[in-house]
Amino acid sequence: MEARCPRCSNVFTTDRSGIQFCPHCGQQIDVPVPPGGGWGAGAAGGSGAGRFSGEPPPGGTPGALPGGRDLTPWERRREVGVVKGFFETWKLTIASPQTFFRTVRPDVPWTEALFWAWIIHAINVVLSLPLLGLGLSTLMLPQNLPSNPNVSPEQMAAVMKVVTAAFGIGPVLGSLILYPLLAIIGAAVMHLVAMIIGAGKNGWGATMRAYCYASGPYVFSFIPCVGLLAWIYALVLRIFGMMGIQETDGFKATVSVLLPWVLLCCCGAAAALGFGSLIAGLAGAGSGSRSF
Amino acid sequence: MTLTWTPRERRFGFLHALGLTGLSGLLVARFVPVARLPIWHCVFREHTGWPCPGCGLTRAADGLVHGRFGFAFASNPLGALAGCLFAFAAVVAVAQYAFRLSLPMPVPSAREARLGRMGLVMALVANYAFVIVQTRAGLR
Repeated sequence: MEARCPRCSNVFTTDRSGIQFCPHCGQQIDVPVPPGGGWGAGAAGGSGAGRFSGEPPPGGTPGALPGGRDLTPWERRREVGVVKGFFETWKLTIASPQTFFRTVRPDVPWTEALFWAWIIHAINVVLSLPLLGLGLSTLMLPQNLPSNPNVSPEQMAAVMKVVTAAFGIGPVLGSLILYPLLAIIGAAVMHLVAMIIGAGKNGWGATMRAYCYASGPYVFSFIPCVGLLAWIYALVLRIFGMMGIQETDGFKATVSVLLPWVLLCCCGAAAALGFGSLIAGLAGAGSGSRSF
Repeated sequence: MTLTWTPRERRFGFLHALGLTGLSGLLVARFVPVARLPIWHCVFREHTGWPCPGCGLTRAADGLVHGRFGFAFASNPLGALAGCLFAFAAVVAVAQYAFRLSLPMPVPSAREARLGRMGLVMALVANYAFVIVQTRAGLR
């Protein structure tokens, strides 16, 4: 069928209704359902359509878009079940990211992906708490404890254990609340770079979905040292995500994902923090087993 | 270049994400003494004596949020300009969300986009040259 873009007024041919991008001006537009129309109308809808609902788009059973794009299992959770939808999506992102991201639709509300990534982060936080409680964050505090004649070394060690646990748990719990903000900031920076180098043709929502669905490896980031590998794999997944959802090449996707980190490393902060955390983690794990 | 208008709707988009990013960054610059943190230093400059392209960004952000615009632009002109644009994005994003404003959206042609990218690269090079001259001349 033919549709007219309400913004640039150009007419183009499409084989579906619903939210899509004008091939002339690149703007996201909502093509109305033709008489006796298909299911896709309003799949992304307005500001709240499909938000955290897991409902398939109105109008019938969701089918694949041209190019094999379809809703993720998580976005079909009303149909397949919440746990299965969540786990299937996680499995796909981890095990076959290239295939998965090539089939993710860019036009579904990004809040669905954010919700999924938030749960991943929550799982990581819950799994981190016992380790933090064991005092594995001692690396962040001085190892030479101040001596006090009124307090025995055992008591001081116990106090320090509580302090370090709180020192680690506080930021972790804070990150749970702030996760959506941090994800939006991360994706905004990534999309800004993508736009500058011409790799953001499917819009901000697509970048946000790539960013969030690449969070799968963070489930393992509570494990000391493995956390670093999980972070690296998440970066790799973001590159696949940008390639698949934004339909760009590997070079542009890599630049979009890595350039912000390179700039951060220029400032020295990220490198210092990352390296410091690694060394501190190793030292903390060692001292933890010795002291506690 | 084609000028299009965004729909009059309350929908969180890229502009709002940029505004939120800018607001968060400027709030951190205002209330957290980042430059005084022991980990906050330029490894590149420490080892080579030459500044990196990002040197001066912290000072620029700090200058902006404390109203010392001259200092901000002298520290890193492009960084200060980016900070101003982030702040502008935050204001426009709030206004758009509150009043459902329709905003103009310029869509450049392929040639214009290429020229824009070239201009950005040149601006980055010029900014880096400015930072290097300032540092090597001992102005900071």
